[in-house]
Amino acid sequence: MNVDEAVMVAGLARALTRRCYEQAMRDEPASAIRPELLRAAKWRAARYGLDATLVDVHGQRSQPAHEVIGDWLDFLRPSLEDNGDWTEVAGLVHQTTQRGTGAARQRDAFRRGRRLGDVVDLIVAETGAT
Amino acid sequence: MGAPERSRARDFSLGVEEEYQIVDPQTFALTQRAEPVLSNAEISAGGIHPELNLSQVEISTAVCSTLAEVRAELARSRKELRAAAEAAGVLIAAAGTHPFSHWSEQTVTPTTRYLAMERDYAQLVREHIVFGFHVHVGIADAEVALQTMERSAVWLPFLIALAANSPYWVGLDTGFASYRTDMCDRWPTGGLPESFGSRDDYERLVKSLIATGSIKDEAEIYWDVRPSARWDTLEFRVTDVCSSIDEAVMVTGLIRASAQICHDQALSDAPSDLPRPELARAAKWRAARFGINDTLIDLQETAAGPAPEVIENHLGRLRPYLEANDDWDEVADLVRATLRRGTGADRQRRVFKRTGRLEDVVEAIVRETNGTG
Repeated sequence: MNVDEAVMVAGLARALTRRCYEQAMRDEPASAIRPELLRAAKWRAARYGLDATLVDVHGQRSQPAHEVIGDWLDFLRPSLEDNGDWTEVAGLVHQTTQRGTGAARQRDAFRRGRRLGDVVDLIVAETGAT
Repeated sequence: MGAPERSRARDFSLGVEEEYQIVDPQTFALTQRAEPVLSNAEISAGGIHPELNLSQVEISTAVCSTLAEVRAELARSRKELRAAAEAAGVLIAAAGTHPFSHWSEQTVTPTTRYLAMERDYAQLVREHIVFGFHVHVGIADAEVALQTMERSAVWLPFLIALAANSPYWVGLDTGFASYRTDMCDRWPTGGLPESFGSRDDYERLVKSLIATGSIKDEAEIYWDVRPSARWDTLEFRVTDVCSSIDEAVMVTGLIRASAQICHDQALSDAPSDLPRPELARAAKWRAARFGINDTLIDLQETAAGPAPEVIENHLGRLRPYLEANDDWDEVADLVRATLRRGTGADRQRRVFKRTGRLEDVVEAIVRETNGTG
């Protein structure tokens, strides 16, 4: 993961915490989503990343990953704005959906030369880039 | 716990499935020979089926009402399968994992369903070279079956520990007594069953898992205990396949009595004092990690104790049901024999300690499977 992505994930985690915190402070009931469905959604995200569909647990349906990510970003937008992170984080999410995740970039590197050593080189280069 | 009046043995029919390894008689490695074994097999009752991999077959018994019938069915199935295996030039071995054959050398059985699973589940399917033991317990009322299921979680660590039979993986000691348990927990619909207020809640969940593309149908729910999609049964799928028929009979008897006690608690509307899922999961993991060689968590007491003690306490709670089923003497003896002799995992490790060869471990498993150990 490059530093941009690390910043993106940190910003999203803080915004998510803030959003949930505010819901809790307002005594909004937590949405009753079956744990089996959450687990399936988590597994799908781990299996496919942004390459296929993701589970929209609220809508109880499967949607192209970029649409689910877009909906989620809308949900977090007020918190990201309150944190002063919106422009940066939204830009980084957009960049990730365009360039692909770390997993996608690793696979691209492998596809070019069929060498896993190239994949490690890529990871090292991205880790060192600031 | 009062006398078990509601749960009479005839209400709790049994059907058992065992998954076996197909092993090369020279190298003792897994071999992709399911097809010739299946075509040679003439299993008289129940059936024999292909499984996920070509190094694996599954038998199922006919519906039984007594442990004696289960024992006879398993003995006959194993004998008939052994004949089919011999004709195909291979051996049959019953253990939760193969001690050394690598998952990357196995081949998925080329049926439409299994190929689709390989595409969808990817690495999970490739590594899933494991062999389980499934017991169907007849419960006609679908609502009661679900309430029985949610109460069954407290019994699973005890069952996993006694049946533990998968210590080795790709040639290494995993440190686990039942490494297969850990592998099964990786599946998106695996693990402990959750609670349901009603059958409608369960059906709504199945619908939403299908609507979200999480599963194709109900058969892709792989919980440790699940309502069968095909029969009026609750299916316990949490234990490793046991090498010996004695152990298979023991586990079957314990599963039936556990199902009966949970069933009666559900019917009497006893408050369901279910453990937190996190604690149930930790207890299950401990049982898979250590088998009977360390402490086990007693989920009814919310305490950990030495495994033999915790196992005796569980056995004591099941005693009225085992007695009502006429299973007490046999099952209690078999549990105590397991505590003395060790689980399948312990016996596998003893062979390896003696000879330092995992091939010898496989040979010992084959002998126990054939009843010549």
